[in-house]
Amino acid sequence: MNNVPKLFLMSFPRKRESTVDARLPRPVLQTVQDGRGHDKDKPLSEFQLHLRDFNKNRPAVACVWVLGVLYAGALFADFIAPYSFKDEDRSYSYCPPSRIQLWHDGKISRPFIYGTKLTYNDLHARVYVTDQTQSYPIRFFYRAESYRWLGLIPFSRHLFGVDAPSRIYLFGADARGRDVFSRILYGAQVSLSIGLIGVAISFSLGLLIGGIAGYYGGWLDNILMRLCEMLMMVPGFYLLLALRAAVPDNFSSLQVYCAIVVILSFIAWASWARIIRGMCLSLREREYVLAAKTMGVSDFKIILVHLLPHTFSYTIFAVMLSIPGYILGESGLSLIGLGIQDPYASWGNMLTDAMSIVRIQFAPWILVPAFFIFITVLCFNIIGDTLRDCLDPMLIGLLPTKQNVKSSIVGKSAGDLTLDQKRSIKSTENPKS
Amino acid sequence: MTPDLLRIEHLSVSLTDTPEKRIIDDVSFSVPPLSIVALVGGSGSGKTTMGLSILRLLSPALNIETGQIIFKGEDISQAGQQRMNELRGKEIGMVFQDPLQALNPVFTIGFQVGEVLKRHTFLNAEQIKKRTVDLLAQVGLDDPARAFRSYPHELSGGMRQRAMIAQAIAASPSLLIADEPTSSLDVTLQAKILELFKSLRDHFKLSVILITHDLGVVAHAADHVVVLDHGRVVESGKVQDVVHHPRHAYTQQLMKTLKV
Repeated sequence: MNNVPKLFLMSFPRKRESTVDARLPRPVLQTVQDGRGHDKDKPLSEFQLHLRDFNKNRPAVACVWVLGVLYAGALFADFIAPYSFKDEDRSYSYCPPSRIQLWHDGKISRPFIYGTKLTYNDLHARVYVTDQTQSYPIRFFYRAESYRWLGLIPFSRHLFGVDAPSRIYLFGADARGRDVFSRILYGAQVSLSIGLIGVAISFSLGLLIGGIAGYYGGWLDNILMRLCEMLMMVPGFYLLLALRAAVPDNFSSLQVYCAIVVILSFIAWASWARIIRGMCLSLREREYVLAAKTMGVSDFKIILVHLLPHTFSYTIFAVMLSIPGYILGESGLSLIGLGIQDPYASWGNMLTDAMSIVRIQFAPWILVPAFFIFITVLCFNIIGDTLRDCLDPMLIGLLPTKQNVKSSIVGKSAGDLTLDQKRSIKSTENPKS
Repeated sequence: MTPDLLRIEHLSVSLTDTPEKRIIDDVSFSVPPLSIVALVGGSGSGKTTMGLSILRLLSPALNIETGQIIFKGEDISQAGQQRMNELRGKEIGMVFQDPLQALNPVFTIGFQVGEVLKRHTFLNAEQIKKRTVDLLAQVGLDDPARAFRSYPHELSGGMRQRAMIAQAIAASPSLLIADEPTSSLDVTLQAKILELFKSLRDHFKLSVILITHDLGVVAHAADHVVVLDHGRVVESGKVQDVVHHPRHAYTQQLMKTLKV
């Protein structure tokens, strides 16, 4: 310390000097050791380390919350929605969103809405005008149409509602006077669950077939992979349409839903299987696989225990990034009328109306489902991207974290660099890896 | 004279696509019970292939052409996969050179040792855990409970090798094949691991086939030596005879490298 020239010392204020990760190579070790150093007896597990990296990424955490809210909305749709998805009132066709009022006679009051009256303007178009003589207070835990929550628990309270004859439309009404807000919640049940179930099916199928093909190799691998290629040869959406055409018209909505899930999974498993197979081809040559064989472990268990878990650092984020594909696939099918049928709601079939530009101009709120699709897809993509960055072993500790950015006093720190730059630095620093 | 635990008779292993190219050529030797037999030879002499052909885990590019592998009176050279899976781990265990490669990095030591017990015994989860910790203690790990919940990368090289040995002897096999078990360790650890093999032999009543290129290891630990060169046995016998009075030129060369 004493040998350091004074000028040099001045440029390093004491407080900052103590942070080891002022220069780039350090943070790698430092962050990892930080986590492990907290409690010597109980080091942070790999999962906790990744979780910590993930938590540092604010947008991704926000996306998790947004998705959480959306999924909660879908789960409690019956309760939150003021009306059922098929509760229609033609006299409110394309009724604009209700404005929630808080001021009454210059005083603050409990939230209420004004009544609406349907008239025609000069061009003989239907317009709704607010009728300030009538006011309807918004009642919370309103007793209305009874339902069974998740098909099990009978209940008749809704989160909010207004007395008849008025109707509350938070996001406006569609052509048949159904509440867009309610239908978005019910539609979320379809659109959001299809992604999860679809990915679960195709992912398990891909893991199983890819694992078997990769582990055994030879003619079995050949047959399975040619099968995959045949599936991947056909452009996805046309295959989707062709398979949908094979499903009978008289299916009930639940059957159609299942059919769509199966079709979407059927299209997607092939690409999974190919990737997993490639990884298993290299993993099966590892010595611990040979070691497991010397212990008499069965082939199936070797695939399950010694091959597939090693693909997870890839598959976890790949799953996240592929969920939007299922959501968009379902929306696409429903949009052109081949998916979920009216009166059942899905974000896709709610947009059928919005295919006409005139209607969008007349009632822009019918585009709201598109906004929800957009948000959901965006969230899944951001989460997937962040997970990829967290799980990439080359990048552990190099992500732009608050800590790294703060400590960037001298020169460039990890926080200022692009991922490519970090990768190159990491590889020059540790040429073995 | 007790019958041999394992007898290899005129075993030949060749490349599947070019049968005239033999990796192991007419090898015969035997492993008496409670003995340590060393297979010695340079790189490419067929030592590891020998070990893997006893377990019948040769890669598809190699196959057993002729000969017999008689284990406890049963010829296993043509036995079915199912029979072999019963023997692997249960009767014949194997230890590898690099435990970091041979242990699965995503599972704890406890899980991987327990996996063998789960496969070959009828113990319940509680008993498996207890037995695993016992095993880890028996192979000389200082803190077996900690090793139980550690991942392979959290242990040192010597500890990993011990964990690997614990895994191989978990189902108390009667034959242990150790493929260069000490090559990745430093000299002091080598001696300790070899001592461990000796004590395990006495404690678990097993025989060890020690595959190595290091005659120093052989002199230290083995009872019998089989020297392999280009897939052929060039010399075999008691360790004193071979190490101290090597007759074959190849063995003499090997001895020379040791003295330097």
